[in-house]
Amino acid sequence: MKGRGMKILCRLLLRDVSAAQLAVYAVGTYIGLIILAGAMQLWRDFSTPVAGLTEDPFASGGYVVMSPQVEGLGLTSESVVPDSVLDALRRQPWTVSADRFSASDFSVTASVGIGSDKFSSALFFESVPDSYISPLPDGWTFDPADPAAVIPVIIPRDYLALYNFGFAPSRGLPSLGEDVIMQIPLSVSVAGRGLRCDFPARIAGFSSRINTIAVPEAFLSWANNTYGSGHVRAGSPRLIAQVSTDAADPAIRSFAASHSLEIAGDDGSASYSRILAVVLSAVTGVGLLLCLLSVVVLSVSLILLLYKCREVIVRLVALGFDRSVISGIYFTMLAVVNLAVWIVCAVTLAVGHSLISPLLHDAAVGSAPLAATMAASFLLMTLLQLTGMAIIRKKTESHK
Amino acid sequence: MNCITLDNILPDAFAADKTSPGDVWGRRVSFVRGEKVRIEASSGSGKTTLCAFIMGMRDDFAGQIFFDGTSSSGFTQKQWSAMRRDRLAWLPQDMGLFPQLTLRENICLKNALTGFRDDAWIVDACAWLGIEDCLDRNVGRMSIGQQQRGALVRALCQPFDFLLLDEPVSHLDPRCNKAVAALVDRELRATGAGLIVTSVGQHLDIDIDKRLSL
Repeated sequence: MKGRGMKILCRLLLRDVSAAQLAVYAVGTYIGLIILAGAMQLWRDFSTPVAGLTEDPFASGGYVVMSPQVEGLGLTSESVVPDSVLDALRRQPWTVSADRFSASDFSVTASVGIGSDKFSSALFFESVPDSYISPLPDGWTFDPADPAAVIPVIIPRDYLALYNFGFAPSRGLPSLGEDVIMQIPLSVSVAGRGLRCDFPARIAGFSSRINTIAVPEAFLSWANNTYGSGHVRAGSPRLIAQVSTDAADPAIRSFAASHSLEIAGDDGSASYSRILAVVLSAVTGVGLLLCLLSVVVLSVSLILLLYKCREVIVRLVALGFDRSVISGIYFTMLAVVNLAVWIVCAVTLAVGHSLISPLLHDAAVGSAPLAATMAASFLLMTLLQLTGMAIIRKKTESHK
Repeated sequence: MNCITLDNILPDAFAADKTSPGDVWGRRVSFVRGEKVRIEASSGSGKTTLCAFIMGMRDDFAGQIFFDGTSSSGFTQKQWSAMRRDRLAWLPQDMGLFPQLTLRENICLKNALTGFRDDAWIVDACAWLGIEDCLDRNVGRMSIGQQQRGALVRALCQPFDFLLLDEPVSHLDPRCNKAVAALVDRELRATGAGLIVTSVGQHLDIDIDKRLSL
């Protein structure tokens, strides 16, 4: 049926629709949906690396770095974490694996030329077993027998920030992205036991979570044997552990405190992730609750509407109107409302995300594409539509 | 469709009283296309209920109704819709008009569903029944007699093999009764359809072929 007849039919069936009830439903659904979609998008943003940053080699899994507390004049030989503590750490239920850092036992000087400036610095190297590094940067190997071997180095991301926002502006040098830095050749000079040798090196990765200058274990053990003085053979003061829980777990804090150890590493980001997860879970819960309330409002509104229209529906059926035609008009009404809510929600999300993205970027949080969140919110609206349609169909067909 | 057969139908409400004295409840009755049948009964004996059973609007009865030998018990809602749209025209006792619409809108709504009549026919039929000046009036503001005539025009806006009129002249004077009867007779002759008309007292002024009591 088309034209005038359809207009009359719509007028007849929709005249009892309560605009107030529909508005309550629409606003409730909008708020619920925007909260859910917002929480989902934030979660996706926080799970996305910042644009232009390479993947953190220590980003997967929970890591804890423990070191002895330093007081007064610093570490003494007694301050080195004894093997018994390492063994105790390995026995903890939350420990997946634990090892010492290996430290360089020779002098290291690195130099790099940027533009016409060349600067060099005394450094130190540490290494951890490769199993702690995931994903392994390309070329994370070292073969002393290869005369062209290049030393891959992972440096703290903060070093790059120090260069870009501290050193470079003060010297009129350009700021450099990670991808550019990784192309710049370094020269590493190693000296010890009366020997000295220069090696080419390159930055292979950046880490925000482990605060060290890391090289492959293969290089460090070879270099310590070749150039080492023997001072650090007893072990590095620092321990690294891969843990099954997150680093903010009170059990880990308690273990560290009982052995006079300080927790470093990704402790901060782990607490941050935990707080974020809790906040986003709470927000998601509120969003879900609002959506659920909207479903209740929708159900009650539809049931009331169809009850009020009962007589009209029965008369239309007696005239020969198919119930599917009658239901179809209510389906369309609901779809128009739902689609409008979704469009407004999608626009709000897009505008909100474009406003908040720069702030997130400044806070070193990435920016995930909106498409998946949009699709998820559309799916949710589709579920609401299907729920409404089921109620309409049931009520329309029950009228006799 | 040529024949409607009521096979021992009895409303559930009458189930306790199985000794109905009438010609319909608990008996086998057939209505044949082209035949005009009047069902007479006192108030409350189930005339409107019978019409609702035949139209598929109620199913609270024992027995079966056959349309050309096919039982209606297995009809889907779509089949019933098609039956009401194309085979069975019905003027219910309560008329079933929508009081919030004008008479023209009421008639157009049905005619838009079937596409059976043109505007000229609708205006002529209303003029014949003396309600052409009510066409653009809200049904709620029409008298019951005017509504009864308007509902008849609407009932005729479809193809049909049987015309069910449930007390069609209960609110009409003899002059209007004659006008209604003439219009019904004209349409029955034009379509060759059967007529089932119920009456509680005042009869439609039309020659009938068979009289049944409930």
